[in-house]
Amino acid sequence: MNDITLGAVEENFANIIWESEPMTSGELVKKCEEQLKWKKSTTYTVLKKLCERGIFKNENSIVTSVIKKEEFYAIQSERFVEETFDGSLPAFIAAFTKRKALSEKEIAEIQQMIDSSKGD
Amino acid sequence: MNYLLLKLINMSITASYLLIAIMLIRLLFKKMPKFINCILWGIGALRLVLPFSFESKISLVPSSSPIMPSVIEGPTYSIDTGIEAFDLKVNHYLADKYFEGVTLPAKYGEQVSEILAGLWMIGIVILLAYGIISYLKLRRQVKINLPLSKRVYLCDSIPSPFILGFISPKIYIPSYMSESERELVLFHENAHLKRLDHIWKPIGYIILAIHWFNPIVWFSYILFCRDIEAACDQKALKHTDKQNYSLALLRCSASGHINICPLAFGETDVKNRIKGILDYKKPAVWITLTAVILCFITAICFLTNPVSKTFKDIAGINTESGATLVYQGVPHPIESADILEWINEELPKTKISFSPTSLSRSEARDRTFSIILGNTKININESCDSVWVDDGVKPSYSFDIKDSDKLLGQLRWLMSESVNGPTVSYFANTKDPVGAQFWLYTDTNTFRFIYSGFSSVVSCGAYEYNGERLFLYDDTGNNEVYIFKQNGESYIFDEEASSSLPKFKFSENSEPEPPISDGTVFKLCAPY
Repeated sequence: MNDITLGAVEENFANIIWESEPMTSGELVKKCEEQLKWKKSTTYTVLKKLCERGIFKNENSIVTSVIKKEEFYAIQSERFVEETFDGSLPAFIAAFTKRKALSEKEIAEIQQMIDSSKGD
Repeated sequence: MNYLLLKLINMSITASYLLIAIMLIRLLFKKMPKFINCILWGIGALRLVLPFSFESKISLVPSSSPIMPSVIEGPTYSIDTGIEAFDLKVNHYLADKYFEGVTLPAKYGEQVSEILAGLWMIGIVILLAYGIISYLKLRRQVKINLPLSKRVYLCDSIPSPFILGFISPKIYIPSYMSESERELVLFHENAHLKRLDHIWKPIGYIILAIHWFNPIVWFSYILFCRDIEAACDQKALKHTDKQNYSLALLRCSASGHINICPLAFGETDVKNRIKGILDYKKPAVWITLTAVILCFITAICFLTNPVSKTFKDIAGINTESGATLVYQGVPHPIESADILEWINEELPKTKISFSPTSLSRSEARDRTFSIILGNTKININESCDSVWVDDGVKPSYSFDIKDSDKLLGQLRWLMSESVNGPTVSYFANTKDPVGAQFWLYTDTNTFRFIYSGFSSVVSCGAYEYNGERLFLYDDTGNNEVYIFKQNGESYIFDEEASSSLPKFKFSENSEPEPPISDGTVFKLCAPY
């Protein structure tokens, strides 16, 4: 699996795209200039880097995401569980609930998620 | 350029005494607040940069110009570090081994110093280029940033925090740091900004680039960088506790590389820094006060130069028993009141080297200029860079004269007044290696004419000027006449009208020919 990570600064940039995509590269440049005070060249440099990493794509000056925001964070969580709990989700949840018990609402939500994922 | 480099080397050597003293002080007084260390380095930097200084009796500097300019001109080579035993040993060795014209080719000193000057320039260029390139590389790296607050930016790709920029410096912090770590880092970096380290450190680097040939300066720069970081640590500890601060420092140091231009948080010898932080206790007021006084004393002892040895120290100078100048063996009594006053007041102040250049007491030494005051004879050589005194009892050692050009000028003035009254001289470049020159003694209407270095006779006699042409009537031999046509401030030799000059062979393969040809221009020059 590709090493898909984002530093804090890149994450900020990614959020700008995720929030407003699809957008033209020109619009992206404008937003980056407003929020991050970046020059046009800087924006294009970072965009190119993230496109090479396979997170976004820039076709005909339209910028869209290849990996959506939720997907991205899911990948991060997977990696975290992989590295810390040897990939065992139950172990992770046990550790999590040891410190903080699940509320009724949360249990119901999780139950629903398990049910819907059984089918896949 | 050669002399510039020589002065720089002398400055570097002189400053090195101070830098070593500072290293010793640092070692002995570890409890001093680190900002005092930085002040001491500042004093060291001053010494490395100021070409002039004051003289004082409490100077601890052995000598202000250890390597004499005569090293470049030749023919002899000598040093004057102020440590007499060392000087004599080295000068003895140099006199034996290195004597221009005898054991070494002519202009040896000049050639060597030109090569050294070239090497020095290359060194500076390399160091400055490295600094500039490092700076530009970092500038490029931090272009992708997230502004956090005024002057503080977050970056993904940097391994540790640092400051970049001189006029409006900005703080760059790696994005992997937590907010609490960031806060600690900012205490340190803001301390840098308040102390203006972002200006001092580059200045220090430039000074290092200039003195790159001196290893003591390199070592001093490294210690200086460490002291800056430690001083900022001490300042930052006012706002936070030691444990958290050290942990943050440890985290940053994981992937540090030396950046000379910017001011990094995690570089330079982390282990010692953490040790310093954990050991730090705010020093008592009296310690700080003593340290400041120590700085002051160090400054005076090492920023000032030692009082120079002068003629006064090797000869009793007064004109009570009259004064005579003997130039090239010919005595000329000195009567002018101005000159006598100069001998009494100014001549004793002429600066000389602290140590003699050799232990010879020979009476056969050069005495081109000999100033005789009663029993005391002050003997100076032709280029005015060496002096020895004969007091009638025991001849003294020879000493190097500092600022020999100045003395030469003064002696020329002395001569123009005392030797044959107002004299005018004209010089021409000819086939002869030393050229040709004639002197007109205007109060006696006589002349001396040296037309060739190969000639064993000097032409002299009476001269006449008819408003357009100059006639030199030689009365040493066969009544020759040499005639020149005036042209502004010059005289042009008229070969046809003049008597014929003797012929000489000027090179291996040429026929004998007269040294001066028709139309040779004799220009007005200084008499001596």
